Amino acid sequence: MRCTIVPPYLLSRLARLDEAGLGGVAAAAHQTLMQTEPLRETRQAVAPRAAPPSTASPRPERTISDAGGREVLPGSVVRREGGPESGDAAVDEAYDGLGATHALFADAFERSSIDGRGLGLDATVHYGSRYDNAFWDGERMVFGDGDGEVFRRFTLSLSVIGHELSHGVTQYSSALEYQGQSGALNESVSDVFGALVEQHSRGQAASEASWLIGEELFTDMVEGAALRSMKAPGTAYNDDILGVDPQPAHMRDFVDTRDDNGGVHINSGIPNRAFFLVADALGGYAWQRAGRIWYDTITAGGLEPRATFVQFARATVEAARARFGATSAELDAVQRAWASVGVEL
Amino acid sequence: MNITVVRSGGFAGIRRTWRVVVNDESSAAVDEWLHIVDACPWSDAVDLDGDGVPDRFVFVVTVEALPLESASTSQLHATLPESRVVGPWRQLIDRVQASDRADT
Repeated sequence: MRCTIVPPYLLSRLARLDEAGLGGVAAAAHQTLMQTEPLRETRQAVAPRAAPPSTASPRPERTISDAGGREVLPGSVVRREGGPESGDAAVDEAYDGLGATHALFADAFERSSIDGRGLGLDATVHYGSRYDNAFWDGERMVFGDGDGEVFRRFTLSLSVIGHELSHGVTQYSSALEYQGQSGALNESVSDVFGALVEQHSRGQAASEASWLIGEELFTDMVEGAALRSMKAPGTAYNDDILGVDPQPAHMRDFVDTRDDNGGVHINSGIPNRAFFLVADALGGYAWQRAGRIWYDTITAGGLEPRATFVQFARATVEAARARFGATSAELDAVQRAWASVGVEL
Repeated sequence: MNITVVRSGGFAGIRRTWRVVVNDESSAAVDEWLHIVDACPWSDAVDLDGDGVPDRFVFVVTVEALPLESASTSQLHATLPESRVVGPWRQLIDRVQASDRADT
């Protein structure tokens, strides 16, 4: 057998590779062939929208579970709200990150948890073996430990935790379909609020923030600052094995692809850059004005599940006008930002 | 016989590719791989895209230059979301990834 070129640091994997045995194949094949449900049956349905946000609950109701390296959810509960630190870094990082995310939505937007009605915040850590990912499954946040060679554990990054919980906020507010432009908007909204969770937690003004997503995830063996840059999409990493950050910063560079649900993590660079430009133009704490406009946009109820960039941009303009006025600096900043990234209003 | 696994999506949105070239002169090696390949329900997974779950992976699996005596076609292709990577799909993808690393 022959394989692709892999850089030297991956050679260290050799010593730990298991022999790929075939013993379980027959049983596994039988199991799958016995499955009769249509493959699309499990496609995630659009979640029902929650009632408008009420008075924010004073504190979150967090539950952290441990999958113990298996890909089975939810795992065993290891820390509940108000419980002492566990001593497991991933558990305690998830617990603190959930708290920081709850604090942003409560303090800045008077939103009680992700559904606006005080929903408990659940997370599972140590999911899978060397699992290079974190995701929101519709009910909980799930974090892998990374492979230790390209990625470290995903709970290390507060912007990642904020990103995942914000998928929950989107699910309960706008339910943007996770495909194509609406999927890229879904991703961008999570990056926006993930960044704001981090800035709010650190007390950073827009000018002080890195505007990087997943700044803590790469190991020292990767040539890259982060997974994404909202300030300069396409510049987050440039690595021999991972390639170059593919995010566009302008509509003229929009990537048409079938990969990644139609490039949801790629083309999100365009609305990400637009948000950064609004926050940069207005200055101060980004969650107070730019973040407020984006929050109003996703919670106003006017976005279609398959909203395009243009439709979303128009919705942000209406949100800025409604909250800050027709002659406001906020409205001007929003209009200029979308023009700068090539989204025609 | 060549087997390629492309993984896109995930939180990072980074596209990764793993590939093995099976030595056709080794019937034992070919048989081992065909045992897994034949167990995968290919016809159910053609053109299947993501499952709408935020930040999960999407896999594209391609088998090229299949031994003609073992199949009615020389190429197989399937797209499937991470939530469907179970049973023989999981065996095949894990084995391609491990073999790619091991042969480097």
